Amino acid sequence: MTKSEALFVNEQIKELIPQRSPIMMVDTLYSATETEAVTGLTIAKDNLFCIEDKFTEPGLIEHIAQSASALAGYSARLIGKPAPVGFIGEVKKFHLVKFPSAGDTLTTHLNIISVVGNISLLQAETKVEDDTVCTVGMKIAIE
Amino acid sequence: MNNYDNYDYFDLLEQKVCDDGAVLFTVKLNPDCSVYQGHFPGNPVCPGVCNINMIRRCIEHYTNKKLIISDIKQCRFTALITPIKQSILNLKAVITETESGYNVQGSVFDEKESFIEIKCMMYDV
Repeated sequence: MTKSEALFVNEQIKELIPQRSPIMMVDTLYSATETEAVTGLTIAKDNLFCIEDKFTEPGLIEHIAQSASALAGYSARLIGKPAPVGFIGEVKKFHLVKFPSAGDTLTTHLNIISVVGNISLLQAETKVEDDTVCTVGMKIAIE
Repeated sequence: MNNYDNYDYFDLLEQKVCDDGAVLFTVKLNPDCSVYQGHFPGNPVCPGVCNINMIRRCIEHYTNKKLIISDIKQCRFTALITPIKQSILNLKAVITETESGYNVQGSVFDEKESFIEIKCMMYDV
């Protein structure tokens, strides 16, 4: 999917998540349902989490957490509510395959496995084109 | 300390090996760090991922190696950390050498409460 077909891009993402520069780690919401989302991030050379042009682990995990936040913000928006603040409750089975590079565009497929109270359990995979860069499970607490 | 990050998140104040072989690190968070401009504006809360990274930097300091976090088996965040309320934190880590790097089992806490429990694998670059 291209950015022109996406639901929210670049500055519009600010309507969905409370994070701001220098720690905004999502720039596209391609699609969203109640339980699934596809998000993206093009890694700028001066990204906070880039070291020697590699996008490092904290950046990847934050990107996925903010992808969940963007989905929560999108769902809230549909019922006229402001973007909620989410916090990572747990990171589970994070596996790093390779570091993306500055200039790469990440695509993340996120599935909400279950929701108990204000805690969402999700599974996500992040790719650059067809190559997996990491997989992770996460619990996100939405305020 | 030898820190490759683009943001000045913390200072390592002390590192000592405990009687049980675990390593105890004491860190001071920097409330002026640039991450708080965006996390969140007017409401500084430590990003969980920055704390994971801080744990890695401490282990790097102890092992004197550059490390990649290849796997996080589990990392639980049991309470929020803010750089103002919790400026001084302890990390106690059991660091076990493996063929390719280290298994790390650690917890982050202060005198009042526990904030993070982590089990992860790091390998040498």
